[in-house]
Amino acid sequence: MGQRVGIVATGQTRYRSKRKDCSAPDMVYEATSRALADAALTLKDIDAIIFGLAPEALDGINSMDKWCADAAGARNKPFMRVHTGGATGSSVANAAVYHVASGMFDTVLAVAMERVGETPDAQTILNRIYDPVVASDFGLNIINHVAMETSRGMEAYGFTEEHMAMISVKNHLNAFNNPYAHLQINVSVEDVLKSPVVCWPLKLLDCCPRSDGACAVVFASEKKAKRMAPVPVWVNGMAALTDITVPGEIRGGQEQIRLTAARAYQMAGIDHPREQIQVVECYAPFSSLELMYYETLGFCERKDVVKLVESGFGAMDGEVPFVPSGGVMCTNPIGATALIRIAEAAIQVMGKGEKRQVPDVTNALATGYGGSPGPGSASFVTVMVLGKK
Amino acid sequence: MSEHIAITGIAQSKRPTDNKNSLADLIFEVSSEALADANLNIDQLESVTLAAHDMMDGRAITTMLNAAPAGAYLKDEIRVAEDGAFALIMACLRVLSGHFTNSLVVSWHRSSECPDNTFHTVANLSYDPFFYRPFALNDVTAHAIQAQRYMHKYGVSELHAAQIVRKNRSNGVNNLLAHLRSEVTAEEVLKSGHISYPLKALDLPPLSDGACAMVITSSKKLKSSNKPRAWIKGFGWSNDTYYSGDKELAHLESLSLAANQAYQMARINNPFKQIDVAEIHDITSYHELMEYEALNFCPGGAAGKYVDNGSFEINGELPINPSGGCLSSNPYTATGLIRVAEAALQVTDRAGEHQIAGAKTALAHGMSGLCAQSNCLFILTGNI
Amino acid sequence: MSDNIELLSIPGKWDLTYNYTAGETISKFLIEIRDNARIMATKCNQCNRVIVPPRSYCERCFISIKDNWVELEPTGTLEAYTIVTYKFEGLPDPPYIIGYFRLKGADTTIPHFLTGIDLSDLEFARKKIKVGLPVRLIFKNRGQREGRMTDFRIEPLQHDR
Repeated sequence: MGQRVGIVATGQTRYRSKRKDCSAPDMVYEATSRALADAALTLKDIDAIIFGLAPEALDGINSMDKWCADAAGARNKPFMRVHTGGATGSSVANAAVYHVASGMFDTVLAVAMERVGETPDAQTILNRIYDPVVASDFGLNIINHVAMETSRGMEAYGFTEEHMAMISVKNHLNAFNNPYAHLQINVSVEDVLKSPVVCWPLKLLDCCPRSDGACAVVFASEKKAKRMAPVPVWVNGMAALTDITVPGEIRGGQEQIRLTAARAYQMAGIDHPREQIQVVECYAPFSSLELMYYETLGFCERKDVVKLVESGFGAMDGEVPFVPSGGVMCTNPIGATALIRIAEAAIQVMGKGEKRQVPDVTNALATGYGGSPGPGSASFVTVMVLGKK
Repeated sequence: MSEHIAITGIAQSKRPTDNKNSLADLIFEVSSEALADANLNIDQLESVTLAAHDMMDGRAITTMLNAAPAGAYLKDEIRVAEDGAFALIMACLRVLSGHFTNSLVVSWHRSSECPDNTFHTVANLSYDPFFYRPFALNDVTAHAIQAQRYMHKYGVSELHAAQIVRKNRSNGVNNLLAHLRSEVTAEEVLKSGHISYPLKALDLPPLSDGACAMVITSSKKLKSSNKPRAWIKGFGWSNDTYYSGDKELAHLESLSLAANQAYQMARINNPFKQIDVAEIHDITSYHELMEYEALNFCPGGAAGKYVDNGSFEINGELPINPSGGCLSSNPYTATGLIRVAEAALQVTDRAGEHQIAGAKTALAHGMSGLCAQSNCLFILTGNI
Repeated sequence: MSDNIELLSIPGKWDLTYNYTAGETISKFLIEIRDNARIMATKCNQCNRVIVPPRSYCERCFISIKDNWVELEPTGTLEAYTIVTYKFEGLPDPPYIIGYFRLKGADTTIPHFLTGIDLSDLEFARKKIKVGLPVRLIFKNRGQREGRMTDFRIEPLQHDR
C-alpha cells in the first residue's frame, strides 16, 4: 500500500428540496469553505481537487463541474470529475485517497454536489439510465427497481412493511439531531404504512426525498493529517466493486455488497464487524435496503435481520447505530450522497457529531451504491472503513 | 515516481466504424484487444478506469451500460467524466497508490448516435443558463472567439491555421485508423466557408465514432518480455477558470501548468529539443497553434513563425500529430486517450506508416471542457 | 444580506435527438421478433449462460459470443415486479405492472409490462401476482411489428379473469 491517508475536515451545506437561495457554484463554495474552515485551512493548503456530480441531466447543465470548478477553488489546480451514479460521492473519496496515496499530493479536496431540485421529476431522467434499445420502453426507474428488490427481499428475509416502517421512523427521528438534514419531520409507523403507495411495497415515507446540496471532505497524507487535525480519521479499508447482476434476482445486489465489504474489512483488519464497528452510515435511500445491510455488512445472519429490527439494533441507543445523521432517507443530493456518508462517519470518529454523536467510536463504516440492475447494466458498490487508529 | 508504469496494451477501434457494432460491441472490441495486446487474462485484471460523457452518449449514466463490455465485471472500476486521457491519469494514480498493479483504461464516443446538432446543443448546455448559455456559445462559437483573440494578440493569420489543417490532414492519410484520410490544401481550407469567424469548415474537426483502450502495468508486476513498451515518465493536469471572459483566452494557462508538472517529473527542460514527436489536442487548427506556445515548443506569439519554418511538419524538427490529430479523427471523449495511444505506438516503433523514425520521447495531450479549460499531459519514452 | 429578496429561477427544457445503434447482435434479435415472432438469445459456451436480450460478449468470461444463437420459447416466469401507482413525468399513466421475466432456458431476465391483470382493485391484483408466476409472450400481428421490445406483450399463462 502507498502512504497512509487521513480525513482532516468536512463541510456540508444545508440540504433542501430546492436551495432557492444559491446557485450551483454557491452551493459548492458553501461546502468547500466550511470544510476548509473545519481544519483552519486556506485554499493554498489544497494541492488538487476531485469533483463529484452524478447524471447532469438532473441538474440541467452538461459537465456542470466545469461551471463549479472556480467555486471549488480549482482555478490553476489539478481537477477532475468522477461520476459513478449514486456512488459518485464515495468514488470521489476513493479518488482522493489515490491522489494522496500516490505520493503526488499532500492535501486534496473531495467535493460533490447535486441539484436534484432543478428537474420536476428525477425518475424521468433515471428511466434513461437503462438500455435505450431493449429496456427503456417499460417505465423502469430506480424506485420501481428497488420495489422489485424489496418484494423479493420480503420473501428471502421475512421482513414486512411494518419492519420497513420501523426503519423509516428511526431515521426520521435521527434527522432531527442533524442540523444539515433535509427532512426533519415526525413520522410514526402508522404514518408510514398509511402514506401513499408509490410502487408496492414502497410507500412515500419509505422513500428518500430529492435534495439540493453539496459536501466536501479534505484528505491528507499521514504527516500533514497529524498536523492539521486534532483527531485525524484514518482510511483503514476501502473497496469498490462493479457488478453486472441479473435484474429480479435477490442474490445479485446483496452478494455484491457482501463481497465489497469483505474486501474492505480485510484491508482494515476487521473480522468481527459487530464487535469492532460502532457506527454505520450505509447508503440506503429506501427503508427496505437498510435492513438488508444488517446482513450483507456482516452484522448478523439473514435469519436474524427481523429480530434485530424489532429489538432496535440500529437505533441511536441500540447496539450499533445505523445512520445517526438520518441517512439517505432524509437527505439525497445524489452526487453528494455517498460522500455525505463518509463525512458523517468521519464526524463520528472525530467526536464532532454533537447531538447525533455515538459514544466511543473507534471504527466507523460508510457505504455507497450507484447504478441499477437492468439488462446488461452495472451497479457500483463502495465500502470504506474509517478509524481512530 | 515511486515506481514506473508501462503501457503494455493498446487498442483503437477500426475504421470505418459501421453499424454492425453497437456502442457496447465497440467497447468490448477495444477492451479485449488491449488485454490481448498486454497478454493479460481478464482474471489478472485488477482495475478499470473509464472516461465518458453521459449527455454526449445520450445515456443518463453511460457507464451503467458500458462498464460490462469494458471488463468491469466484479472489478474495482471508476469513471471520470472528462476527456479519455484523464482516465489514464486516474489509472496511474491508482497504481502509484499501491492499491493496484494494473489497470484497463477505456474511453469512447459514438458521434453517429449523437447528431451534430445535438452535439453542439449539448455543448451549449455546458454553459450556465444565466450568463453564458443565452448567447449562442458552443464548441464552435466559443472556440472561434478564442481563435479570434489569439489572432488579434499575436498577428497570427488565417493562413497559419490553414497550414495546420493541411499538415494534419496530410498526416492522417498515412494513418489506417483515421476517420478522414484525404489531403486538403491550405487554399481549400481558406475557401471552405466561414462557420464562425475566423473558423472555417475545415478548421474544425470532424465528429467521429471511435473507442480506445489501454492497459498499464506497474514495473513491480512486469514480467520480462522482448516486446517494446512505452513508459510513462511524467504526467500533469490542471484546470483554468470556467469564466472564459475572465482569462486571457490566447494563453492556455492550464495547459502550461500541466506541462510544467509533467516536464518536471520527466526532467524535460527543453521540450522542443528533447521531445521527438507530439500528439496534441487540435480541437481547432488555431488551438494547435496556441498549444505550441503553452507547451513551450516555441516562445509566446511565435507559433506562426515556426509554422512558416516547417518545424512541426512530419519531416520537421518536432513532428506534431503524425496520426492526423483530431482534425482527422474526433471521437470526442476518446480523443485524448487516442493521443496517448499514438504517442505510445511512436516510442515503441509500432506506428506503421506514420512512424517517426527513431522517436524515443513523445508527448501526448488531452483536453476537457470548453475553451481549453482543463488539460492533461503525458511524457512517454521507449526505454525506462 | 437582505432577507426578503425575491429569488428567481428560469425555465429550461431539454429536447435532444439521439439515434441509438442496435448493432448486428441486437438487430438480429429485433428482426427475429419483427419478422418471425421469435426470441433469440446468445449463449456463452464457456460459462453456459444464455443471455437475453442478447449481448455480443460474455462480460464474465470476457469472450465474444456473437454468433452463438439459441432460440427461446415464448414462455417464462415472473421474477420480480412492482405495481406503479404514481405518475412519473414522461412515463405511462398508472396503474401498471413492470416485471422482470425469465424466459424458459435463459439465465438473464427481460423487463416488460405485465398485462392481462385487472388493476381496478389493486389489493386483489397483488394477491394474484407472485414471483414465479408462469407467463407467455403474445406477439402483435405481423404487419404491426416494428422490431421493438414492445412488439409483444406478456401476460399470465393461465387466464382466469
